[in-house]
Amino acid sequence: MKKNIVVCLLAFLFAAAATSTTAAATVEFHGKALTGMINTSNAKVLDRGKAGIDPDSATIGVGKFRLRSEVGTDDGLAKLVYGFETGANNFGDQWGYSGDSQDFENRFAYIQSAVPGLSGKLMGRAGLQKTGINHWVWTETAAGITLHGKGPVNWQTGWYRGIEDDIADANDDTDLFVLKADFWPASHLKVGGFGVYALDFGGKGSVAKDADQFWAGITSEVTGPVFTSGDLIYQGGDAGVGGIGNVSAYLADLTVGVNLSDSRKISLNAVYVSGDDDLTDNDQEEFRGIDADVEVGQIFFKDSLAASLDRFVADQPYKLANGLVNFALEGDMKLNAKNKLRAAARYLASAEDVVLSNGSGEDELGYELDLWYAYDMNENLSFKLEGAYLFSGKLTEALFADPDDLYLVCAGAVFQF
Amino acid sequence: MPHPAKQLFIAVVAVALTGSLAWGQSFPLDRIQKDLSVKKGRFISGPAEQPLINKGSEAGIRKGDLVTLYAPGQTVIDPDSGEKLGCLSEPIAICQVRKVHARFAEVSVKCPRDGCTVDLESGLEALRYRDVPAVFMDGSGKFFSDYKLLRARLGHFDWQGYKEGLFKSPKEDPSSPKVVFAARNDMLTVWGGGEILAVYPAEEKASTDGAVSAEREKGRAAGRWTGAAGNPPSAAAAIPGMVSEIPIKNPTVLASLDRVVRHFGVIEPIGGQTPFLIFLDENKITARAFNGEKTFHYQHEGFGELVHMSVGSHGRLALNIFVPGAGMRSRILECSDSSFQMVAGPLNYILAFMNAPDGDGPPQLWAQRFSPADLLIPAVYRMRLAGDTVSREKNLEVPYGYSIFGAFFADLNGNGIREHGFFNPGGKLVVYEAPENQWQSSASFSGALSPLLVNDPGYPDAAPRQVNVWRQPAVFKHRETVWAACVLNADSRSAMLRRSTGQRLLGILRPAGGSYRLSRLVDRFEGRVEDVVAYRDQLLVGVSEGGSSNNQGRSHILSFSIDDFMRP
Repeated sequence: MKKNIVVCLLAFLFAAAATSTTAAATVEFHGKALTGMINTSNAKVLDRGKAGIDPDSATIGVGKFRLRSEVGTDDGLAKLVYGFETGANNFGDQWGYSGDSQDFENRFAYIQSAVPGLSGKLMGRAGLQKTGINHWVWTETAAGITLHGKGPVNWQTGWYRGIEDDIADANDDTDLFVLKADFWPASHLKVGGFGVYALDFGGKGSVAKDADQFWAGITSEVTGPVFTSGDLIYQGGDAGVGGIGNVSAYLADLTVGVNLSDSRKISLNAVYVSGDDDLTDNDQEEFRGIDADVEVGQIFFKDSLAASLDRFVADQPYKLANGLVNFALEGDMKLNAKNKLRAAARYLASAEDVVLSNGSGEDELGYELDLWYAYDMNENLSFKLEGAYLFSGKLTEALFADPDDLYLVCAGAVFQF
Repeated sequence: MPHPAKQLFIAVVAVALTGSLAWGQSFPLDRIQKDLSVKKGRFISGPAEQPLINKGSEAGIRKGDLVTLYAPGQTVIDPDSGEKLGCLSEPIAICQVRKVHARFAEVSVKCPRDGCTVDLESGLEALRYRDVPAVFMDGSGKFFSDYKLLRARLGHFDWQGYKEGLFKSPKEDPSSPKVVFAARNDMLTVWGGGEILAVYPAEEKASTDGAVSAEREKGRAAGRWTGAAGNPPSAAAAIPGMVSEIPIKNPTVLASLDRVVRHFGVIEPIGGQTPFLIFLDENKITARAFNGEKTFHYQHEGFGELVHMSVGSHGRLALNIFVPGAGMRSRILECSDSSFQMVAGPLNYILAFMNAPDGDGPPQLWAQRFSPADLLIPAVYRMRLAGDTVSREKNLEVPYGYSIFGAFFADLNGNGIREHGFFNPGGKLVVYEAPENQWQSSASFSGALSPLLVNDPGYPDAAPRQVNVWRQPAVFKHRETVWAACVLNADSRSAMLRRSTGQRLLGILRPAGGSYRLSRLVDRFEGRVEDVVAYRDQLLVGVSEGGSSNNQGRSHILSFSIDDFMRP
């Protein structure tokens, strides 16, 4: 009941806002196209590490295009946003002779409008929109109604319908309520907090009746000669159908870096994502986000052009193994006006041992070296050459059915306007 | 907005929409004939033997004019009657007017031929534009008829022909002074001795009959339009919301550069006497003394790009640096007469000095918060700059859609309260006197090029969003009234539909009848208007040619006397 009241209130505010604005006048059209050739020593790296894929080397071409249009009023108080994606498609596969793919995906479809009487600092959105809660928890799009306040404190709150299984059954859907705020107590310091409360949450793919979960986190960022950023997030509530499992998990992320010069910086990053030490009990101690793209290197996660082309092993830590430990040293360098280079060395492990088929427990994923090179031809077009080499640990060897080290190389282009 | 891909798309649509229309263009020949007519004078060897002529602004002499000096020739006698028919004068030198006084002008002397020497004495006959070499360069190949008409009307020039092709403006023309009529698209630029003498926009004419009708010519000559619609000929196609026009008079070229400069400004260095022109292109700031004696640079080699600059007082300069994925990492520089020094930064804001006109107080440093996820956040602060420390001083209430890029804060209507002026998300110039909207232009503008493409770090695979980097208006006072000169440039989409040029607009915003009026300067420029600065009694305008997607092209800084173009 409370849920319905909140949803109706948000809808009312949004409808009232939509009546207060003037005629549409501005049209913007933007796009981003990515295409690249990927070579890897193990094809499992390209498709979520699936068991049915042979662990052989592979070379593929992939493309993905995203377009977005925005039609709004001159004063910016209301606009319609629609965006779609085609791809990511393999050359010769989904993009075969004559390009006969049927692939098409709606990415954005929402109306944004100001709420009257509030100086335009309160905006409402309704439809399929970016969530943007936290990069470890929820960044991808979802359909809902939200309110956004901008100013000295940036905040948002709203309701999303994650899954609607049966419109005739009020209990057969997943609803998520969000609250997020950021503010800047000093010029170089940003602090923020967020909370998500999910009803009947069974993960991204299913409804779990009576399983209510929540995420609460604090974030901070300091810029300057020495820079830091961090997240501390707790996940709690119930899991499983009927809410029989207790959820108690957390994630901690800390980056500390130094700007060595205007064009060089170096940083250390540590991430700990809790794992489940006993998969047989009803408790869930493994941290799980809602729908996010985790950027922890290139071999497993999504910090690469190959991953942007949807060729990756995992987009969240829990999908790879049992929690995650990451220690990374990263350097970033601007070679000149058009050339940039980034490199990293990292140690990766699961937070808890994973019991293999032979009964042994392993946690070591390995040591990974990453390299990113970009040549910006102009503001619209960039060429990229990226690669990673993993000195595989025992756990990786088991997950990828491959006793050898892994590598991944991707060369491609990104055009945006 | 003018990204290459968009321009291509818009061009295709525009061609489809306008392909059936048949219009031609011609230049204002009467005005050109008058501006380049012969004027008689005498050469004077000045008190310190500096070369002068005895005609000045009162006689219509302008800076840049070319004047031919003649040696007294032999007398021509009629062999039948013995009557003296006149003298056969010989041109011995060509002078270019460098500085104009009311009743005389300072000139520099150039030989008409290589290797010649001249011995000049006071009293030599001086005729403006008589026997001056002239050439017509047609960049589009469609103005041959104008060349023929010009040649017929300006027979006193030493015509050296018609050529098709683009005229590359010279840096200087020391050896062979001549006048070049450079026609390109819908603009005729007259160059003399390496300087721009005048710019004439083409006027549209119906081309179904292949020529300008006699009736229309007559109407023009009489200063009125006799067309059926009763509207003026629309070279200066009416821009909605721009209800009047202001003519530009006597432009001079302060600087010409072999690259496209997106921003420029004038800075008075700390501890220095000579003001400097400063240019921003690529990731470099170049300072050049007005007298040309000193040049120095500030090169940004760090992360991000210099996207905007704002000049304050006491040699202070705010540099806005955009780092993709991180946001703004701006800086404050201090300019001496030999170098730039970083005073403060990096700062996570867009910075701008809000300059008030003379006598209305020192400039204030303002800052707007910006994040790649939220773009321009309506959180604007007045900042305090003390030594090398910048701190937030006061949170300022600004209207929704406010962008500190292209904003001014000045009391235009004279009621003692400063108004916020800025370009809203739709590209319209708006004026707010907190918290009410006082005025809004009816047309949308595109400003200058170089918008920011911003990727959301939380959603990096999505198409980027765009932030327009509007140029900061030049606020100045004229006859106790505050005016704002704004880089406008017509919005390219609507401009194509209106068959306007799409760029090249400079607007003047002023109070009028309890509201505001946006007037345009009628002389359209040969390229995009990139930036505008008010300095003392001059309005300086940066114009560029080419370089829509890179910095390959040319830029010119033109100077106009505010008194001249404000004169009714």
